[in-house]
Amino acid sequence: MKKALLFVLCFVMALGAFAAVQAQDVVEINVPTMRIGINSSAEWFAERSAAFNAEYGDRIKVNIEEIAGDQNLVDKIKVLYSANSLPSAFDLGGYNVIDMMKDQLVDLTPYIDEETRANASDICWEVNTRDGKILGMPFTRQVIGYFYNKEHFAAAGIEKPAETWEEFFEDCEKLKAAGFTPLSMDTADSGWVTSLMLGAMIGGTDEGEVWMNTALPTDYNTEAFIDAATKIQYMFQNYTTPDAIGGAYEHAAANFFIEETSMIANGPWMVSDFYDTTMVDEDFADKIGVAMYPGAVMYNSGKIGWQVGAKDPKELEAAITYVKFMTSVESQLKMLEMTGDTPAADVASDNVYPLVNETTALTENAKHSINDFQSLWYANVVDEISVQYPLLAQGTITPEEFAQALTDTAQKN
Amino acid sequence: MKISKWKIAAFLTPCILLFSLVFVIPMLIIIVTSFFDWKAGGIFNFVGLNNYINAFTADKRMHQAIINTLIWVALQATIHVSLGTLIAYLLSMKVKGWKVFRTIYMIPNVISSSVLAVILVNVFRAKGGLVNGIITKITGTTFTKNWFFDSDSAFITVTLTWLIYTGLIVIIALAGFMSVPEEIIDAARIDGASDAKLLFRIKLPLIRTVLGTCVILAATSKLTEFELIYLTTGGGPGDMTINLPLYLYKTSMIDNNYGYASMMSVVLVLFGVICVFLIHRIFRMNEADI
Amino acid sequence: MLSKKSKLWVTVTMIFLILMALISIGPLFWVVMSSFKTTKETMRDAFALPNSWNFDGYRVALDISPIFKFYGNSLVIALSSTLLNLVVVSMAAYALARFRFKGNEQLTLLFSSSLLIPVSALLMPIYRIWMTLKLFDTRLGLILVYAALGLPESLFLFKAYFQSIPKELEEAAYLDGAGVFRTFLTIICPLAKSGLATGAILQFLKSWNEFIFALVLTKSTEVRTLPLALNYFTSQFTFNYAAMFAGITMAVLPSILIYVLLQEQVTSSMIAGSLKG
Repeated sequence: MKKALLFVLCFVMALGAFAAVQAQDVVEINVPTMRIGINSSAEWFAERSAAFNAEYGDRIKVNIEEIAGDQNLVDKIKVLYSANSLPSAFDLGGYNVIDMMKDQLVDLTPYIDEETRANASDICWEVNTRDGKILGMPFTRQVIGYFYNKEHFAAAGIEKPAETWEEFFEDCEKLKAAGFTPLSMDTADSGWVTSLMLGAMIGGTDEGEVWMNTALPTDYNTEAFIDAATKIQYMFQNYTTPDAIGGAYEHAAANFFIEETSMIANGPWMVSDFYDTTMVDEDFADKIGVAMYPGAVMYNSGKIGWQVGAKDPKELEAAITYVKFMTSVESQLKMLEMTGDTPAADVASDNVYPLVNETTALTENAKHSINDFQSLWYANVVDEISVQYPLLAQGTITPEEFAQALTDTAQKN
Repeated sequence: MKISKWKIAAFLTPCILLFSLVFVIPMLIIIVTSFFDWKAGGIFNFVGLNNYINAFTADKRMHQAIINTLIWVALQATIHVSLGTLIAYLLSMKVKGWKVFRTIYMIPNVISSSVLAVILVNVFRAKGGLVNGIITKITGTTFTKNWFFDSDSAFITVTLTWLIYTGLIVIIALAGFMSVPEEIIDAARIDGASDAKLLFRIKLPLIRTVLGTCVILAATSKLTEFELIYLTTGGGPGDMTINLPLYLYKTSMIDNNYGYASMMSVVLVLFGVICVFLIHRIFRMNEADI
Repeated sequence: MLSKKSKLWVTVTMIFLILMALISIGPLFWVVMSSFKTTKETMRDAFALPNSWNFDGYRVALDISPIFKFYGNSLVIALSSTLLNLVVVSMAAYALARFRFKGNEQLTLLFSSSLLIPVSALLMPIYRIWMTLKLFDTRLGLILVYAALGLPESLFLFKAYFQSIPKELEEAAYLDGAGVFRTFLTIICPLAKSGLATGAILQFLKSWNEFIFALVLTKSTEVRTLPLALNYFTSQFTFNYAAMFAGITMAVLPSILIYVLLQEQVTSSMIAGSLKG
């Protein structure tokens, strides 16, 4: 009997040891990223990856697939999705594929306890939720105003940034009279800079604010949208550079950097460039101020975060651990300090450029908080804007036809 | 000389295998799915000819894409090949530095189209672009035409990105001209043939299969052109510079409407088959020379 | 009188040829020049000469992208696919050019139809098949695709060259008792050398420059190719012209160099007069 017991004991112990060895087996997860090369968060991603490895390297092996270029990563994820083989975890820097891929993304709700929930404000969770399921783990917030050149404003006799759009257009006239080109604009890559202005015009009323927080709108034939498109058309024709049509963000930014234009709409991640002397003159950053859009409008909303596609339970567990690490408050703060991107949690750091904190501070006084078109609108609408803006700018189509073209595109979905 | 069947098969089999793996099997998948409403999110329903009917009746962008594609094919098959053949002919006279020229003309074809697109976007840029810079220097007044994005110049500017780069045609046609046996030329000269007569009556007819190859390569390259349009105008402004492959790409990668995209692939391949068939006939390519 | 006319003719020809040459390499010259400018200089005037020889762009480019690893991969993959394409397609082209058998014309038409299939249509199906066959993320996977992508062009070219070779030569060989394979290897291929070389160069360049399949069919840095490196310099919200132009220069110059060297090969085979038999 004793012998038998001993035998059983040994057997159990052996099993236990075996299980322990099993548990120490390294789980591999696949993570594609565009945060490499020239990407402004490449340094952040490298630092975080090293930190994760130091902490979990003995049991989780992260296979990082470097995919250079934001759009290439999005395209690749779509191919993987159509083949039903999404990577273990990924983030697309806010680009929205959640609506398209909700059937293959892991519902993260069961893994989010109170502690994790406190890592991001409610609005951030909301943006990542579909049908009551949390499909993305937020870690940054979308806070965007616009930057202006104080020297230009002073020379044109403008005392402070405009509070209404009428005032804004009057200021543009003054800047023009003083010999400056008032606005940086673009049309390529969905006309990011231009479309931010467009959204801010729409979001200036309570009704518009709601619309600018609505996911996947299908009707652009609204008075507010057409009115905004009319203003954009006027801006293209009177207040911007000749290379705006067809230009991408980089050209809009370049015109602002060489102080040819006076204003550009963009987020605080741009601030570090203001100090980069390979791009701008030495004292450039001192000349720049940041403002709310007229009507006290700010972009201030959640951003789509890390998504999980792992299927195997062990892989899934490892992926969750990884995603929680990448979205922790510590990771968010590092992101803020290294890139100027606003954290999802309500935290701040003194270790950043003043303009970054000034931008965040503006949100407190904003009357209307809106979300940006790239996170909200259908991907094909975002793409369609690029081919329709040039027509609008040249007056080949009317603002009404512009709205109709986007409506038609949205309804294809 | 009779060649046994298995020897013929031995020559053909490796090619057929490779061809099947990369083209036939995927193409079968494409043909089948072109009859389905297949979208992202697990939608997969048989709809018969609906995709085709929709494309040819209701879809205006599709019509524009077809028209543009055909215009570009026609321009490439005529002007592009003629220009290349002309250059090859001039070089075949062994003008000074002909080897250097031949190498230089090929360079735009040697570098990848994505690089070429980046370069040309800058060359034709409204502000600070090379073309406008030169015009400004010559006329003395600031010139700011937005070549790729003005409605009246977008199509022609996109066309220029490939029409003038004839390097490939030049080297193929030049090799053709050089392969014309000198005995034939000498004989014709003794008969008193002029340069023009020599070219049109003897050289061109002799290299017609080579020229046919050039026309096929040129025409079909425009049936499948994608990168140079996508990376310059993206098909805009509006639908002015869209073609079938670009619309196909947008439908598949952005709209995620795979069934409809498959239909476009089928239409494109049908166009191509007709094209190649016609060119084969025109150049009598299945008859051997001499 | 005649000589005056021909002199004018030569001048017009030369001006035309030089103009075309400028259009061909002017833009490239601009890229190389821009790679030595700082981003700021390029922003201010895209076409001015650089103020000084600035190698920062190259330093950054090498720093942020694994460009040398990609060079190696590109070289291996492009060379292998060229070799595969050359062997497989030249055999088929010879059979189609010379042998009479049922379905010859149809087979030619079928092969040529692949010229008409846009790459964007093939992406998804090939990705799925490659996953099943375990060819995904392997060099072999890319080599097979590239060899096939160049199939129709090579076929046309080789077939046209084989057809332009007088039949009498082969018939003489057969009468001497040589087999089909030996005739093909020892008589036909040497005669069509310039055509084969031209096809090989085109195939090499196609593989060297291909982008979309390389992106979709690979995932690790170990097997990735050079065109993917250029994307390390673009991002929606940042740009570094100096690094981008340096990257382009590093990616483009070797292909031009390789082309120029191989081009010499074609020339010498032509001069050898192989086509005259």
